[in-house]
Amino acid sequence: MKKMRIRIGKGGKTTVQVEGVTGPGCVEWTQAFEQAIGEVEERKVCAAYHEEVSEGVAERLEETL
Amino acid sequence: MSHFTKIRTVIREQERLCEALRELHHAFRQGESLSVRGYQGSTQTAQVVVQTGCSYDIGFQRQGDGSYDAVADWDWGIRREAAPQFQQDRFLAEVNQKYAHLAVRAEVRERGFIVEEERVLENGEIELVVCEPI
Repeated sequence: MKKMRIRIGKGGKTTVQVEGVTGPGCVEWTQAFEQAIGEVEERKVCAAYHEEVSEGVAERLEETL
Repeated sequence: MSHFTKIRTVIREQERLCEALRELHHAFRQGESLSVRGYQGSTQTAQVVVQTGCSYDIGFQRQGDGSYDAVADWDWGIRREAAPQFQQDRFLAEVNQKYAHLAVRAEVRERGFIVEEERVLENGEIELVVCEPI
């Protein structure tokens, strides 16, 4: 399941950590949150970001759409 | 985990700023060109002015890019006359955190997401775990 772990620090420094998403779609998923809060200072992508959505998942996504 | 983003709070919504001030129990006024009292009777204008209980105010001034900057005589008037909750670091830290929290909650509501967990950590950070509805 797609999840965002959001931490809002004293002073308003916020970090958003995304879990359960593969591929670059994860950035799109968090963009609205990021824009609502302020300006992105740093973004680190992890291995899962570079993973392709597997065929089975892609088919299920198409069916859903 | 697929990515990790660090964000600096920028105040852009005047209504949300006022909501943050209300939740922090600050008295304030809103207007297009309100006076912010500073050093030796000097003034600046701002759109939101926080009353500090002394003869110096804290203003939030709209900038050309639509964001709001805090203006006050922090180093002299506020430091000497205002209560601890109005001192620059503490005041701005609290307002920025509250504003960011309200912004996150508003986005969650708007997108129909679910807050699975929300808590205040020992270091004062607010943590929310948000997921999409199934």
